[in-house]
Amino acid sequence: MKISSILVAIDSSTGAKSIVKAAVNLAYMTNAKLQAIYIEESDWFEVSRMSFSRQISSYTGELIPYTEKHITDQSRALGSLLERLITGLSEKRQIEYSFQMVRGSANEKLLAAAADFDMVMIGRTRQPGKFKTHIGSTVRYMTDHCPSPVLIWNDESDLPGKVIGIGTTPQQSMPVIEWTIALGKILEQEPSLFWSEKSLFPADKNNLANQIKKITPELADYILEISEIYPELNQDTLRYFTHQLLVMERNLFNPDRPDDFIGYLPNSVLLV
Amino acid sequence: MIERPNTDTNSRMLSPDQLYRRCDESKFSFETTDEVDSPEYPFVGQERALASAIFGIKMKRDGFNIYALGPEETDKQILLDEVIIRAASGQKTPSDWCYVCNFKEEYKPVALELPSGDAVRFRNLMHRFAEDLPNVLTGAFESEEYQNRRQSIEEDLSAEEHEDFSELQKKAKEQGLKILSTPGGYTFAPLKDGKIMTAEELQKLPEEEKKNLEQKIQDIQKELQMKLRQIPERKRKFREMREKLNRRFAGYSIKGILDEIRNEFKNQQSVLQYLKQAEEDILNHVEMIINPGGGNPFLQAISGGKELKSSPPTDHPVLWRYTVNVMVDHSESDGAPLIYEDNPTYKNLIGRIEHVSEMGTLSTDFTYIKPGALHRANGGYLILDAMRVLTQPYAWDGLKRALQSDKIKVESPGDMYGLISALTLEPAPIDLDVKVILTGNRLLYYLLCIYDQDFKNLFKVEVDFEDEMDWSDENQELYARLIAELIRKNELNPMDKSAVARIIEHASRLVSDNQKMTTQMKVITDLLRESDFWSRQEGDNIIRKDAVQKAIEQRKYRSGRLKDRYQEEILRKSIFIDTEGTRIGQVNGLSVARLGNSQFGHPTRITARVRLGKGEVVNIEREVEMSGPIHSKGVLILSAFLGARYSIDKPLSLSASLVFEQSYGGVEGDSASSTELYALLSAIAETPLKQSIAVTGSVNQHGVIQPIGGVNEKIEGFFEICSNRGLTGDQGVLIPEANMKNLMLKEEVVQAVGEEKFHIYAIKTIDGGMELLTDLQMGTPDNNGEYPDGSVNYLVEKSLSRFASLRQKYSAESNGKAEK
Repeated sequence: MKISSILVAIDSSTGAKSIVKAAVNLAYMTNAKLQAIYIEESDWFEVSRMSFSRQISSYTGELIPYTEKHITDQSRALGSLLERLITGLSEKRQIEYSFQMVRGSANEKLLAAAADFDMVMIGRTRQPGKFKTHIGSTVRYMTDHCPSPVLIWNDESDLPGKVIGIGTTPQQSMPVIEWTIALGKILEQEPSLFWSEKSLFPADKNNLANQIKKITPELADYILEISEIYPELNQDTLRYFTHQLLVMERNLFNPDRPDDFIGYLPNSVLLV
Repeated sequence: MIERPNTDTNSRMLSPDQLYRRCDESKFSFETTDEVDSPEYPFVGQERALASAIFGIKMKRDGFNIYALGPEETDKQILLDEVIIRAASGQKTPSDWCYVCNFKEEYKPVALELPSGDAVRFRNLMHRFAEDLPNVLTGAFESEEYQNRRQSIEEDLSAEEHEDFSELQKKAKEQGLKILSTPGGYTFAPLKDGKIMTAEELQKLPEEEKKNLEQKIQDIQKELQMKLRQIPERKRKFREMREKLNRRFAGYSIKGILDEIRNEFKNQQSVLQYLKQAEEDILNHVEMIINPGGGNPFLQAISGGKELKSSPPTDHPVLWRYTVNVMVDHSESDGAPLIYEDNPTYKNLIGRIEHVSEMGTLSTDFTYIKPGALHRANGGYLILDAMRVLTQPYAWDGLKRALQSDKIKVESPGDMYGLISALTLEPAPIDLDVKVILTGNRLLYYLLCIYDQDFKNLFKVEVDFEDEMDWSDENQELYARLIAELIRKNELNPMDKSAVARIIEHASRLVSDNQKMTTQMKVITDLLRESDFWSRQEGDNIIRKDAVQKAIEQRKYRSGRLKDRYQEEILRKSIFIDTEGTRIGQVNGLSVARLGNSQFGHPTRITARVRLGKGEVVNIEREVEMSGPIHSKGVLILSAFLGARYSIDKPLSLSASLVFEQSYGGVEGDSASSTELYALLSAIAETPLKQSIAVTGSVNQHGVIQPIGGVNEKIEGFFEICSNRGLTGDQGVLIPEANMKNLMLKEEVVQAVGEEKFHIYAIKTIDGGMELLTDLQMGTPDNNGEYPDGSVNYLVEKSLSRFASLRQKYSAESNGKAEK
């Protein structure tokens, strides 16, 4: 399982620095090439052409002009800042990097760019309170359409402690097993595997281990833990997962489900 | 017939036993100094100084500091140390002192007084506490409970924000609008069929609909603005709650370790108060303690790239505040301290505040305060050399100020006089309780008494050291014990009693008094060391009289180059000195030259010439400003004698001049005034004086010979010249009778006198001396006031009368010519 290229999407949100830092560190650890992409939303320019358009400063709350020229200048300025950010961090780590600024629909442009990368990193702003998270539409779109694994990065994260894979069954969750172990090696953290399929429990740990060994004997040694996990998450199980990087199957992620548990978790998640 | 002078009443020849006092070694009860006990005190003959020192040490009132005065060679320190050590050992060990951070006003460090030995313990505890602090706090803030509670605060507060925002988003959606996040903030976009309307589509809308849309957008914009303006207040609230949480966790995490320190010092209110303030300060600086760099590039630059968090407390940007600067530590002391500061600069006395250069400026803090001698001696005794204190800039003023205020206030002279404007400190003054002992010479003491009023108020106890002591049997025994003690102290070979006796005799010679001994023990100690050296050179393990004698002679030899050269000049007749025959108006005077370690006597030719004049006696040395005031005074006195004896009822009609022949270095002292008078009388009476006799002695207006100094050197100086030329048996020296007690002549002279090859005469009056020099009677006036024929007085009067007549005749002739 090799990561040789990473695409990171950055924007004006407050989590930009965090995700760039994480992406640079990950590229450094994997010796991967890093590309940062900043997408100028075409919607901004469209709205700026409307006569009554105004912007409200997110910091002061004051009204500021919003013409095409204004948004162009702002976007360029932001682009420069982001480019400086990625350049500074990348050069410090001496990794191969590039920066791209494109205009258009975020979903389309990002998906188009992601085709050639081993991993895509995209941020989310965690919406605290009642454990709901704000998964943007772009994240959902990429999750549904991007062939490469998508790492949804929580903007308040740093590089995590443990790496935790959450699978259904060993047979079905091979990619989860492989990515969990691979990330564990890369991040030099202990990987753990948790199983969410109810039919597996009560768990015959030896049986599970044997099943995994049969499928991937070389990975069997890395499997350190086999425990239950309940789809209904609560404070206790959450506490266990705090500050860990999760690796999960995409089909477990369904943000439209009212009880979708990714939304409960304050983690970064790699959807494979 | 000229009668021979009757020398019985006015002069006498001295016998050898009057020239040197021998120390009777039979009175010693020991053979060598190994058998001798040490004296109670390591000094002798200083009863007054001892009593004064004891009083001064015991007197605890303000202003009773001590000035120990006396010559340098008197080892004042030994006596003072002895008295102080005895007093100090029974006294309580004074408190320790330290400086700590003043958290409210950093530039005014706080002084803490602690029981002796506790300052270092306190410092170590605080240092360890400061070292542990980052880990303790980090542990608290990394704990799950803290993380959860902080998370909870963030979530609770952010939830409000996001709820508002979500509501707005929902409202916007209901009104067919969408909130767009832009690089500059937010904007509102109209929707059509779930997608953002294009500008063209908007343009196509009816005017009313456009206006409605615009109004909706404006309304919702206002709502968003209102929401956004609440954010800072929310954030402030969050910060307060986070701060409160941090303080609670931090306080709880450090309480335990602070309580441990509190228990160690539970009886020290000042320490407890300090710890309370420190605790508050820590809670105000938690984040800086845990994350000292904090992204601050300057702090990073200062640290030189080092990991600030793991720096020692002294290098950490915050933790240094909780360290302790120990100024005085008595953990290993017993009793009151005795400090001797041999380099009493202002800073060494009062202490100093050091500065460090940081980014082009000088900065400092309480850790850079350094103690001075006053700190170390606080509660005890401080010995200083007075001259050294006075010659150091600001040191004397600083010392006086401290003694007057009873406080040690550390400040630099640069700050005091506004010379430096770098960041500096005002450390809290420390209470001062010290006894200062100044040591110095007498001149300095008396000058200070006259010119410095503060001195008399601050140094009320004078400890006046004697230069000499009585040579009694009892003191002789004590002296021997002291010699034994010095030998032991200096790890010298033991001395036999003959050597001890020789030392005592030399001790008497050093003060030029055969009834006294010197108390300048430094000189005696040096002599002992040199004697030991010479005895070892001979392979002897006991110091004997010969070794002592050799030490004395070798010392003279080492410093005798000048004397030898001078004598050589005399012997080679570059300097004219006659030691035989007679001359009118010429006599051998005696002088002492002092240069460095060299002190020697030598004869000097003094001549007198007379002529007709108006009665003035010209001191040629004075005319060319080579005569000191005392010498000038002596010449005036002899002039007065002359006038009083020979010119009571008539004017002196002569003019006389006196000179020290071949003298180019200046003359001072009146010890040659009698010599000059002899020369003058000889010149007036035209009576020759013996050149085989040298003369010394001061004369008063009544012709009484007064004592002089350096009598031994003077006699020996003339003796050596005569001896080198070959003693004739006629040669000798006239000295004042009052100087007989000063005689301790060297063995050669005593032996020569014993063999009648040389003679010493003690005279009382000028008449006695004149008779010896001329072999004529001075003469006593009869009832008519006339002197006997042929007497010196007669000859003088006769000559003066001739001068008077000549002058009268000359005056009459001059007046006659003038009238014409």
